[in-house]
Formats: sequence, structure tokens, C-alpha cells
Amino acid sequence: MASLKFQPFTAALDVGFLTELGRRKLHEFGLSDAPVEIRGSYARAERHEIPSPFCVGADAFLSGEAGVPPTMCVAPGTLLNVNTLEDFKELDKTRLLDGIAQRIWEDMKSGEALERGELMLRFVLLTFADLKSHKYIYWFAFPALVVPAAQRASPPVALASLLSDTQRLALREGFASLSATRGRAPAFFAVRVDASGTLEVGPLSAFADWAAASHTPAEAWLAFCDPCPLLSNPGWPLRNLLALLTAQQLVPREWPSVRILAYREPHPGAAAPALHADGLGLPPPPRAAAGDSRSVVIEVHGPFDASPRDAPPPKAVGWSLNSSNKAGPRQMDLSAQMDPEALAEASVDLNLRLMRWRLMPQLDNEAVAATSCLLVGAGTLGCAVARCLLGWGVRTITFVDSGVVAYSNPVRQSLFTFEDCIGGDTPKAEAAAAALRRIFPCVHAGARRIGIPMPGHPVSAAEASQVGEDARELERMVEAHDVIFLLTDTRESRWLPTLLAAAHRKLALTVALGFDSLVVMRHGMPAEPAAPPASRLGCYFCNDVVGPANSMLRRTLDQQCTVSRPGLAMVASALAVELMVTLLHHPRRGAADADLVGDDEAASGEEAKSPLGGVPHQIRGSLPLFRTTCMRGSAFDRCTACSATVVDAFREKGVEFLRSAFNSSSYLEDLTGLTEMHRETEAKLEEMAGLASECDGEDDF
Amino acid sequence: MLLLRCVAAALMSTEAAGRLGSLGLSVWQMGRNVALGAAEYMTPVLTESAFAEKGVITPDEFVRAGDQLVMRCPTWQWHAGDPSKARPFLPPEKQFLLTRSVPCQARAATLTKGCDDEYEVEGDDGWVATKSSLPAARAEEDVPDMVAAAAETLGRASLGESELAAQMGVAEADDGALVEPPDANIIKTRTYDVSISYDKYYQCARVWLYGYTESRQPLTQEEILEDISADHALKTVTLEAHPHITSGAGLHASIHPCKHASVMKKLFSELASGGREPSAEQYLFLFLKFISCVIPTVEYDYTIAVDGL
Repeated sequence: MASLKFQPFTAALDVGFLTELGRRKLHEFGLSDAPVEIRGSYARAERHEIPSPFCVGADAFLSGEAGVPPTMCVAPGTLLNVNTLEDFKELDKTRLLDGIAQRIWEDMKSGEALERGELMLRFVLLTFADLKSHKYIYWFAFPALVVPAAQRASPPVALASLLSDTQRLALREGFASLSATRGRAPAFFAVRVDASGTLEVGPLSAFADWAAASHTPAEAWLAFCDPCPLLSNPGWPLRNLLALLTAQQLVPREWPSVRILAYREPHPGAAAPALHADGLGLPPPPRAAAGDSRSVVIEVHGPFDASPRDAPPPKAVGWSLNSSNKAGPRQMDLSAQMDPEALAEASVDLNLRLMRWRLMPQLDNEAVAATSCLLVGAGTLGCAVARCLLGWGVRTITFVDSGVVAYSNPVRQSLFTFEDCIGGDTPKAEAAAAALRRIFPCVHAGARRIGIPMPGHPVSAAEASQVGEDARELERMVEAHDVIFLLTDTRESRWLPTLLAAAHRKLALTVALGFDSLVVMRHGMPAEPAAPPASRLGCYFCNDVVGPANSMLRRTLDQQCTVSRPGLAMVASALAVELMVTLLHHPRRGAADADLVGDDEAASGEEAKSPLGGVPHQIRGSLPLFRTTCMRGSAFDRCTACSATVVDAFREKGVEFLRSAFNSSSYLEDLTGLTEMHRETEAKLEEMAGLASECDGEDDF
Repeated sequence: MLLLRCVAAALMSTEAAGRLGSLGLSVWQMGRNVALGAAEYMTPVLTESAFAEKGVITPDEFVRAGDQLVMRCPTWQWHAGDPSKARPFLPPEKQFLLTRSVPCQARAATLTKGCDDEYEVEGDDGWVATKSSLPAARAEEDVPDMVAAAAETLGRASLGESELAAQMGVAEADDGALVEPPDANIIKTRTYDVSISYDKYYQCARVWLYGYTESRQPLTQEEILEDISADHALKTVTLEAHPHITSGAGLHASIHPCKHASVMKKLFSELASGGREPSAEQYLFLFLKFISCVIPTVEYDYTIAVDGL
């Protein structure tokens, strides 16, 4: 008699498990460190001289047994993922292990473990996922109950010394058919060899009856699938099988000893006649010869007295060893293995997701990321808006611009560099999109070099087809995106995008700068097409009583360029993007009424709110005062860009309508009734002027 | 052996292999194969069976061959993978085949030759030969290097681990009933997750490898190369994102399928000339045998009894 020594499980934790853990931590668990049910699996050591690993892969989180080969035993596990390294260190491991051991013991006592042997294989996986550096620390525990029976065993003997070849074949077939009825290899089972030598394989629960009906211990054996290949030692699962003998009176008291089979027989397929492919010149398969058997039998000696019903569980051990064979956690660093692009994507995602853990649980990162943005204008504003959108995780950004990068651009326009200017023929839209991809390869950045046709900029016959094509292309772009940013530097260039956004009911945001003042505005979207204009917010043109015209005529140099304080564009662009993100979280999104006017909240009657805060209509800012003010303006029924008259005319006549608008500065004013309004106003003014001069002779009013 | 040389020649002498060879290590530089991805997208799904004539298979034949493999060698299992990467021409639950933690006990690079003489088997029942022929092939002078390598990877893992272990506060880790851990100087084994996907562009099966060191650290590219036979290491292996596994898991080594069809065609015609009727179900068994020339020491399971083969 001697003490048995057991080979511990060799845990094989997949990278796939850790990345899935990371994903779940970020997207599902958040700050929760509640235990999570997982599964592990192992095969018996049949083919190799090395231990069969205890596998925990990406599918370990799935319930059921899908994807686990039926030749493997499945073990239920508990994942405990803690939030900090300190938690990992300070957690009471002894208590954790004892808790699981207690459950194993209870299942043994209740008899549940006889029916479902895998309950004796419960394991613990303690992890800490450092998602920022892609380092993972993990520690397996395979709780084993320590019972004295392990010290009363005879050294293992080869199965071949106890069974004939015929009996071994019957054993393999019996095991295969037991596996087939259960759909899976049983971790524990029973073997009966009757007096005539006939061998039978049955479930673990059959052992007690078989033993009771046997005359000698040689007739009824316990057995377990053994991941250990050593001829001198059994593997870890035997430990709790021995504990089961203490928990339950399975072995008759009078038996001097019981035989336990460490099952390591090859899969029947391997024992079948080998594949004849001679002449193919291919190497033979690496497999143990059919006659090989690594199975061993261990004789454990009595006494076999089950402990009392309410006996406390025996002491438990089982924290696994690290790579230096000391009890301790292992670590895996995945950063070196990761595709840099995947690394970038994961890290960007992480930073955004972390906002959700504590600061803003309602944040809908998916909705923001899924929003496609069209940036009309790839200048100072376009560059700044794009970078801010990237920061929010927006993945689809398309630039529309007709210009090329100039030497003055890079210092203000954050996506360009000196190299882009050389040669003077690098299109801005493409350069900006390329820069976005360099910054973050996972972005879908597009570019269209389109000149935006403008009212008051007459189209010659030669240009007509190109302008028509440009307008149609811009329309396609507007249709294809969710949010349109108007970031050009003239008033009239915003007209067509405004009209297209209104016609296709897309959210449009305008950013416009003066020298030291800014306006950021979202264009109103009618809740339904027939809604009265007063009930919706205005667009960039709604406050105007003149139609858009060529504003570049007779301008001096300083008037032609956007001359504004350099910080202004960044402030304004950031406000526009934040307004968009806030709106995306509002239940009514773009159709939400302004709920922030001046410094007052909830000026509108709407109950619905965005968790990120107010959704003002306009933000007007002044650098000299370092102040921004929120304002609200209703839609104007004679607006030259978004009124029903204009939208309907565009829908009806399309490009022909646009051409009229481009060629005649008065066309839109006539169409919308502004001309008439001007006449009426002038008449009124003249009337008033007449009255005034009668009174005191002063001019103006 | 004759045919095998043909196979090797086919792999090495072709234009494509030459091109890959001339690129050398650069093939390993995070090849994402964007152009090929687009090409695969544009290639229509093969519908007409032509495995015997051309060595290519249809997705349907791939699934049937995979079912056979899973049935005969249950260490292989079908997997669904990342649903967002699922190919529409394959059943959702049968996107690729995977066998986990396959041991790899010796370095192929230390075998003097690919898989010619070492595997020559005497007698006519060649396939029953055991893998014990493998370690014998390992040249003795190579052993110290491998010990050093094993120690190095061990060191890589244990650097922070002993420090951590000291801070964990587990009173009693074991009760003295553990088998003595193996000596660090004894070479322990690497393991590989081996998967097989269907390559729509090359219309054949494609093998993917993800490896772990003895101490369960992901293998580096250079380390994986040690397990590819010297004849193929830099010519036929690329490092790419797995077509079905989430990108977070990192890049997989793949045996490039540009010559698979011609090799498979030769194997099928060899079978046919031996008077046996080739069937598509045999595809993966033949395929895995051929792949074992490339990764001779990765001991995945493909032994089965196939009637008439």
C-alpha cells in the first residue's frame, strides 16, 4: 500500500476565450464581478504521451455542449472576473475554493453526482482582464476533496495484465455505446466483469447494484476518463471519485479493496483496420498502434465506511500551478499577437465603452458608431468636425469638396500636411479621407470632388450637364448618409445641401463663423411631411428675407477668405458634433424640439429628453464675450431652402428647378413670395417714412 | 515516394510559390490580403463538382467531406465562428472545422528534410506505422537548442508570474499528493488549434494554425515557422486574419492554398489509377495527409478506415 500521487489538470486557456471575456466585460458585465457559468472539456489521454489538456475556449460561455467533440468530457465551471489587480490579489482564494468544494460534496451526498458525474469536476477560473494593455491574469482551481483513501492504494497496474484482448475490445465497445447513449463520453462510469469473464460497461449509478451482486471486487469496477498518460500515476478526476466513496456507501463494507480503472483506451476508429493509401507516398498518421493501451487499474483498499449524512466536507485543494510550477496565477499578453488594426479598433472601442460603466450608462455607442456623416466642405471646419466624429467612434465619414490643398491650409486644417500642398493638385476631399484612414484604419472614409452649384452663380450652357451631374451626385450622397454637416464658407453654398437634406428628411447641421462669432444650428426636421412650419425648427435660411445670392462679388481679399480667430473653428466644430451626439440619444432624434433656450431648460413642452443634456436649436457664440447662447427659431413658410414650396418644386422639376435657381437670383424670392413680401414691406416703409417726415423730418426710422 | 516529390515540386516550382519565396519574410508582415478578399468576393460560388478532374471542391462537397471527418475523427468539430463573418454558401453551423490543443512535440525545422525519407514505411501496410518514427527523426544535436528555446519561452511566461504568486496569499496550495512537476529541462509540448475553412477563391479547403508555447503563451510568427517543414516554411505560409474567428484573437498562420487544387488532383488521380473510385467525402482525409507534409510534427487526427481507399 502506498499514497497515490495525482497528475493535475493541464489547463489550456484559449486566446479566443480571453478575447471573448474581454468583449463580454466591456459590453455586458461592465463593473459587475458576479460569477458566470462556463464550461471546460478534456479528453482521455489515448493518443499521446502528454496529458490531455483541460480546454477552455471562446465557446466556454455557451450553455449546452455544442462544439465540444463527443469524445471529450464536459466540466461545469465558474468564472470570477474581478475588476482590479488588487481584487485579484486580495480575494480569499481558500474561501472561494472551499465554496465550490462544498457544492461538490453536497452533490455527492445527495446522490446527484452519481447521476451527473461531471458535477464532481466543478472548477473555478479567476481572472483579471486588463483591457487597456490586453494583458490577462488567470488562475484555475480544480477543487479536490482530500480523503484518506488516497493513501491506501496499490501502485497502478496495466489494464492488459488484468483483461484479455477480447475483454478489452468489449470494454472499448461498451464505452463507445455508453458514450453514444449519452451523446458524450462519461467522465465516470462503471465496469462489470462477471464470473464467466463477460465484460459490461454502465453508468456510474449502476456501480452500487453491480457491487452488491458481486462476489469479489474483481467483478465490479469504478472507472473514469483519465487525461493523464502516465503509467505510474492517475489523473486528477480520480481524487473526487475517491471522495465519493467517502460520501456514499458505494463499495460494500466487507470488500477489502475496490478496483478503479483509469480509462485511456483509444477511440474505436483508431483500432479499426488502418487506412490503406499506400502508393500515395504520404506519411503515415501519427497515432498509437491499435494494440496500445495506456489504461491502468488502481486498487484502493478499505475500509469503506461512508461518513455520516451531515459530515462536513473534507479539506479541499486544487489551485493550479504557474509556469514555474508554483501555486499561482498565469498571465497572457495578447498585445503582441494582435493585428495592429484590430488592436486600434478594440482600444478605440474600449475608451468609448468605458463611458458607459459609470458616467453615462445610457450611452448608445452603437447608434453613434452606426451614424454615417456627410461633411460638405473639407476645410478648417470639415477637418475639425471629422476628427471629433472619429473621437466619438463614428465609422462612416464622407467629404465633399471641390478644392485642392493650399499652402495656407495645413496650419488650420488639421487633416493636411505640408506634403499635401506640394504640386498644388491634391484634392482636399481625398486628402482628408486618406488622413482619416491613416489616423484610424477601421474608418470608412470617402471623398467626392464635387463643386456645389449655388444660387446666383449662373450656369452656362457648356457647364449645364456637369452642374446637373454634380447636383445629382450630391443628392445621392445626401441620401446615402444619416447626418449632413454644412461646413462651407459661403452662405449660398449651403443652399443646395439644405434643400436636399429637407427633401430627403435628413438631419442637417450648419456651422458658420464670423471673425470672432460662431453659429451652430440644426435644421428642423418635420415630424411628418405635412406638419405646419411653425411647429418645426428653422433652417439656416429661415431667418432671411432675401434669397441666397453670389456673396463673393466685389469683395476685397480679406473679405473673400474666411478670416476668423483660429480657435473659433475648433470650438464651433466641437459644439456641432456634441449637438449631433446629444440629438442621436433623444427619443425623437432630429425631430426633437429645442429644449434649451437662453439659459432655460425645458422651454418646450416636450417630456422626452436626451440623457446627454439639452438639444438646442441654435448655439451662438462670441469669443470677445467668451459666451455662448442658445436660441430657437421656427421654420419660415417662405424660406428659400426648406419651405414646402421650394421642396415641392424641387421634387417636381428636379434639375430644371435647380438651374432656374442658379441662374436667376430673383427666382427663389419670386417662388416663395419673398418678392411680394418685399414689395409690401417697402410700401409699408414708404408709408411710415412719409408719416415720419411729416412728423420730425428725420430720415430712416 | 515518387508522387510526393511531384507534390513538393508542384509546391515549389510554380510561379506563385516562387513569388512568395522571393518575398521571403515580408509575406509574414501582417498580410491582410485585401486584394484577395475582394477577389474572393467577386468569384462566383463553385457549383459543379470537379474534385477528380481539377482537384477543386464545391462548398457542398466541403460540407459533406467535413461531416465525414467529424464522424470518423471526432476530435474535429464543425464551428459557426463569428456570425458576422459567416459565408452564405455554407450552413451557419458548419462554417469551419476545428480541432483544439493538438500536440506538437518536435520542431519540423529540425527535421533534415521535409517528409521524404523519415516517413518511408516498410511493407505494404504503411499507414499503421506509429508516430514513434517522429522523435527518431530529430537529430540529436538539435536537442540542446530546443531545451534552450523551451527555457526561453518558459522564462517569458514566468517573468511576472513568480512575483504575482508571492502576492496571492494561498496558504496551502496542495497536500503533497501531486505528481512531481516535470523538470524544466524536459521538453514539454507545444499545442496548436488547427482549423479548416473553405476558400471560395481557390475552391478548396484551407488550413489555419494558432499555436501556444509549452507554458501556454501564444507562439510568435518565428516560433510557428519552426513547425513548418523547411521546404515550405517561407514559401507557402502566410499570416492572416482568420476568416471566421473574431479579429481580436489575432492573426493565424495559414498554408497558402494557391497550389492545393493541383496537389489534390494528383492525389485523386493516383487513387483512381489504383483502381479505386474517388469520392468527394475522401477529400479532407487526403487533404490532411498532404498537409501533414507541411506541418509534419503537428499531430492532428486523420486516421480512419475508409472502405476502398
